[in-house]
This record gives sequence, structure tokens and C-alpha cells, in this order.
Amino acid sequence: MLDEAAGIFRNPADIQFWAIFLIIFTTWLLIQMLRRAVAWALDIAPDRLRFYLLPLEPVLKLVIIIAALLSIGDLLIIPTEENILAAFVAVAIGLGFAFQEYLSSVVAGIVSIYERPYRPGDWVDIEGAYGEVQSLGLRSIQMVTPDDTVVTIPHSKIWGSLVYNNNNGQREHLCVSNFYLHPQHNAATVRQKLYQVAITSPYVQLKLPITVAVAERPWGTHYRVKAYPIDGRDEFRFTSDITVRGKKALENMGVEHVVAPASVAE
Amino acid sequence: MSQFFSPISSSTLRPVWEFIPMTEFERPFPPRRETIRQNMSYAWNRIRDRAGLEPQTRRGLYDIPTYLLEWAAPPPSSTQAMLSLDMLLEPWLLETVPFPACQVILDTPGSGIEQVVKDLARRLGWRIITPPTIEQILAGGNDWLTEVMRPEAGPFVLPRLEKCFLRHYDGFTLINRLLEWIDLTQPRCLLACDSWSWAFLDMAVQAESALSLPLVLAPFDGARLQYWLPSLARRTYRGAFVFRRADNGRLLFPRADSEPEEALRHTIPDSLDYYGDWVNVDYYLKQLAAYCRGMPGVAWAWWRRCLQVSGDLNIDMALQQEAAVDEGYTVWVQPWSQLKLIHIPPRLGTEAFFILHALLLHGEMSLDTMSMLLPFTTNQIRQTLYQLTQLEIANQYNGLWRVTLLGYPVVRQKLESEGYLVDEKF
Repeated sequence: MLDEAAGIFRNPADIQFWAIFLIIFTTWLLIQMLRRAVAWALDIAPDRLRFYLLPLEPVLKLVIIIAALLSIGDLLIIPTEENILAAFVAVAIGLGFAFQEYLSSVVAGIVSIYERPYRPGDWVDIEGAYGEVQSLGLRSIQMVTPDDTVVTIPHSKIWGSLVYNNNNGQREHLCVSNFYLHPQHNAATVRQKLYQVAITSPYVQLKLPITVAVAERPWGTHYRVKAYPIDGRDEFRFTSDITVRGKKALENMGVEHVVAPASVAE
Repeated sequence: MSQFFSPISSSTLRPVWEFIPMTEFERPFPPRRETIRQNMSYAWNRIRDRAGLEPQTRRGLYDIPTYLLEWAAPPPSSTQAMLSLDMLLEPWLLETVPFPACQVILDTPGSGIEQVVKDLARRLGWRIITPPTIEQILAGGNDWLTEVMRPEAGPFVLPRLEKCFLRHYDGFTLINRLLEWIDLTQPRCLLACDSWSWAFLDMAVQAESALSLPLVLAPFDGARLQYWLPSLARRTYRGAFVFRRADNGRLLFPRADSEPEEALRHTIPDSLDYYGDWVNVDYYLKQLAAYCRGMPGVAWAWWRRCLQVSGDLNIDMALQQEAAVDEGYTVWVQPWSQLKLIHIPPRLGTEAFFILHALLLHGEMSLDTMSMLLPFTTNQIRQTLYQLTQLEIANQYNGLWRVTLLGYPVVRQKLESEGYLVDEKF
């Protein structure tokens, strides 16, 4: 058995370890250069191009890593069909036992590059964590929440969790600002005023529709101002702007906000 | 002479200043090689992350002194545009064509339409309506509207419709009531509105459905500029200036005494100027027209920027020999490719774009008004305005901030590329 295994690998005396180190160093260098190149391109390109540039990074990184692994494999293994297959199976079984979760995430990462449930720049919600995807690694994604907290989520979550993607590769995404008002008011006037609040926000994308949805609830009237910011990254500044100015406009109109007990669900 | 003039065909005569329906406006596009050069220059500037390339100044050429600049390229007069508008609207003014009762004229940046409609109002004896104050707009403008709506007051001109609203949740009541009244009563009136405000009003209060299709000044392409720019200097100093390209010494315009009789016949004081296809357009003027999007005011500002004079005898001998025969004062025109254009550096962010967009939507604004409309503190806005001033993109006049004519092309390009609402047609 050991003899067979030994037959797969090259004679240690023939292995060019310096070449392996060189490949590892070159791979690391290329990945660093790629990261810097994408960051530089993002800096000089107009904002609207970031959704095309950001997704390139994980794909190119994967290509570099695969090329490096193949090159190293070629240096370690005598390249016959049987040897390659045997080495692949041995590595898969060995790593599978040792790093089952890790490999699951890596495979999910490869799948995610093609299925694209999320891309850098997307605003996603995965198991309650909501934020902008900053980077896609081979094992995990990193997102930044509105509170500026970095959350690392393994790709394996896509196997069993729902992934809510707000903008799906587009620059704009729909944002909703809520107003909960006392039911005694002129709904048509309030609706028009809230529309004007949205259309006068400097953050709003004027080329996309703005709607104000109204629903009567047991505790009052629920208004939802739906609009798109020019840049999805301004989501919370946008909804805050609408909320602040909306409250002021409603206050000027004498419309009261409803105060519901904590036990009342939305 | 053959350098400039083709055989004359009077069938192709067109007024230099001409108003056309908005839908017919087609801005001049740059020649293909100019587009490539501009894109490469833009990319280079982005890479260098700097405000612009240092100009490759020609040895011995200097910026033209201010007093000379005022003679060589004086501010344009509104007379020609007023005559053109008067002629176009004559049937309407004589009431032989009764509808639409209300005419809208769009004012593209630097076109001076406000002054044109005011001049026309004075000529016709119509009322000139002063725009409401900001306080009146926010309060709904009852008093102002009552004054405008006086039935016995007769036709009127509203020179700045963009001053009748604010991008504020209480800023639409007045303009809504005004448009509703115009739609219902059809008073005879002439409204001038900034093209950016019109785009916003059309989207926010559907202005175009209440009013007629606007008229707009026809774009100043290379041919118009070829005729118009030297005519500015000729107004008072006929033949006193000779404009030569600083790169090859070629005359940019014909000498006054070499113009064909046909051309001169269409330059009669107090009558409309015409130009025809006898004009062979210089490549520089095509570049200028395209960069300035066919807007005469913007082209005039950049034209002034291009003018230089010789400070000593160190300029090329060949060019000097060419210029030695000039009877007037030789003014050297900096080639477009060597001009330091204004660039917006990547460090300018959302604050700057919001301010620039707000300035363009309202024409001009005070710092206090900006503080009221934008979600930034007064200090933040002041700091951003300072940066914009340094870049020659914004300036202040009488306490009101506006986008400069020199900075307008790059601001518009930037706002459009960032996805902001712009005046699409222009």
C-alpha cells in the first residue's frame, strides 16, 4: 500500500521545493496585486461601475488558486491518469474528514460564484444579518452592517438558509420608510405630503418610481414610503432623511403619530 | 478666401440666433478623433488623481489682459436672441395664432434667456413678474399669486419659472397653483424656465402637461460659432483683432475685409444676423461646440479662456512671419488639445454632487437656502463650496452660488454618469 502511494509521488530528491515555494509566493503576490488592482479601479472608475468590477475579484482569485494548485500538483505527483485520480481521491477523503465544514463552505463558495446569490456591493440578509457584501472569499463572505460591524458568514449557509438580496447586482435598491399615524387625519393630503417629502430628498433616484402605500391597522394608519436612493450605499442616510423631514412635515400639518403599547405587533 | 468660404447659396441661410421646439434640439457631437482624445485624457486624469494636466504652454504666450479680453470677446448682447424670438412669436403676439396662450422658453445654462424675455416684455409693454421670495414659496404664495392672477393686468412675462418652487416638501404649493391657474384660464404669458428645473418640474408636477411644448435656443454648432465669436469683437472694434491658432498660425476667422458681400449683407445693425454654408468650419470650433454642448454662453466662457497674447519675441519665427501681415491686433487662440480643462477629482463625494445638483435645479442659491434643502450643516456646505470654488466649478455673486460656465460641461457629465436627473435633451 505504502509502495503504491509512494509510486504516485515523485522521488523527494526530484521534487523542486524551491519551485513550490516560488509558486506559493507568486500566488500570494498575484492575489495581493489583484486586490490592489480592483481597489484602484474602484477608486478611479465612476461609482456605477463598482457592481461590474467587484465581482471580478473572487472569480480571478479562484482562477489563480486553481492554477497554483495544479502547478504544485504537477511538481509533487508523477502525472499519469491513475496517479492524478488517486491523489485527488486521497486528498478529498483526507480533507473531507478533517475539514468537512470548511470544504462545504469552499464548495458553496465556488457554487456561489456561478449562482450569484450575492455579489460584492449587494445588500443581503442572511439569517438576520443585514448589510452590504464587502468581499467574497473562497470560504466566506464579509459584510458590513449599518452599525459598521463586519460580519463573516460562511458560504455553506446558502445550502440551508434563505438569502434575501435587495439589489441583486443593481446600483439602486428599494428602501422603505415607515410612518405610524393616528387614524384621525386626511389620508389623501398626508399621502401627497409624504410623496413630496420623498421627491425632495436629495438622495432619491428621481428616474425610478416613488410610491406611498397606506394600510389601516387596528392601532392606526401605516404609511410606507417606497423609493430608491441614487446610491444603494446611502440606504440608511436616505431613510433617515425621509423620516426626519417626514416627521417635520406631518408635525406642521398637525398630524399625530400613534404610540402603541409594546405588546402590539406591527 | 477659399480657406473659409464655399460658393454661396442663399437657400441655406439661417439666423445665428434661432428658437426651435425642444424636441428638435440636437447637441453638436465631437468629431470621432476628439472623442478618443477626450476619453484618453479623462482616463489619464483619473489615474493621476489630479485636477487636470498641466497645460503645455507655448513659449512666449500669456493670458490676455482683462481690458483686452473685454474688447476681443465682450459679453454677448441679448438683442439678437430677442429679435429672433420676436420674429418667431410674431403671429402669436399678433393673436393670429391664439393657441397655446402660454409660451414656454427653456433657458440652458449661460444662454441669457432671462434677459431676452425681459427685453421682449419691455418692447411689447407686457408686465414682468418678479419671482416670489423663498418665504412666499414656503407659505404657498397667496399674495404673489393674487398679483399675478389680476384679470385686468393683461399679458405677462415670468422670466424665471425656476424661482417659483423649492425642492422642499412645502415648496410645490405655489407652482402647482400657478400651473393649475394657467391650465384653467389660459392667460397670455411667456414663461422662461431653466432646462434643469424644467426636467425636475416635469417629473415632480408634470409641468409639460399643463404647458405647451417649450421652445429652446438652437444649438450653437461649429458653423454658428465660426460666425458668432468674431462678431462679438466686431461689434465695436471692427477689424481690430485678428485671431490665429497658436499651434499652426492659421487664421481662425476671415479678415473683416475679405468676407464676401453676401456675408456682410446679413450683418446689419438692429436686424437679425444670418449665416450660411459659405462658412468652412475650423476643427477647433467643432471641438469647442461639442464640448460646450451647443450652449453659446458656455462656449463664450471657454473661448475667452483660450485667448492669449504674445508677450515677447520668443514665439515661433514662422508664426511671427505669418502674423506680421496682420493689420489688427493679433490674438493667439490656444489649441483645444493643450487647454487645461476642468476636472472633478475623485475625492469629491456625495456632498459636492448634492450641492451641484441643487444649484443646477434652482439656477442659483444662497448658503442659507442650501442649508435648508440639503442634509448637511452650514459648515459642511461652506467647506464643499470652498473646494468647488478652488476647482472653478462654482462661484458666488451677490451672495448667490451658481455653477460656473467653465465648469458646467464637466459637472453635467459627472452628474449624468452618477445617475442624477439631468436635462436629458441638452
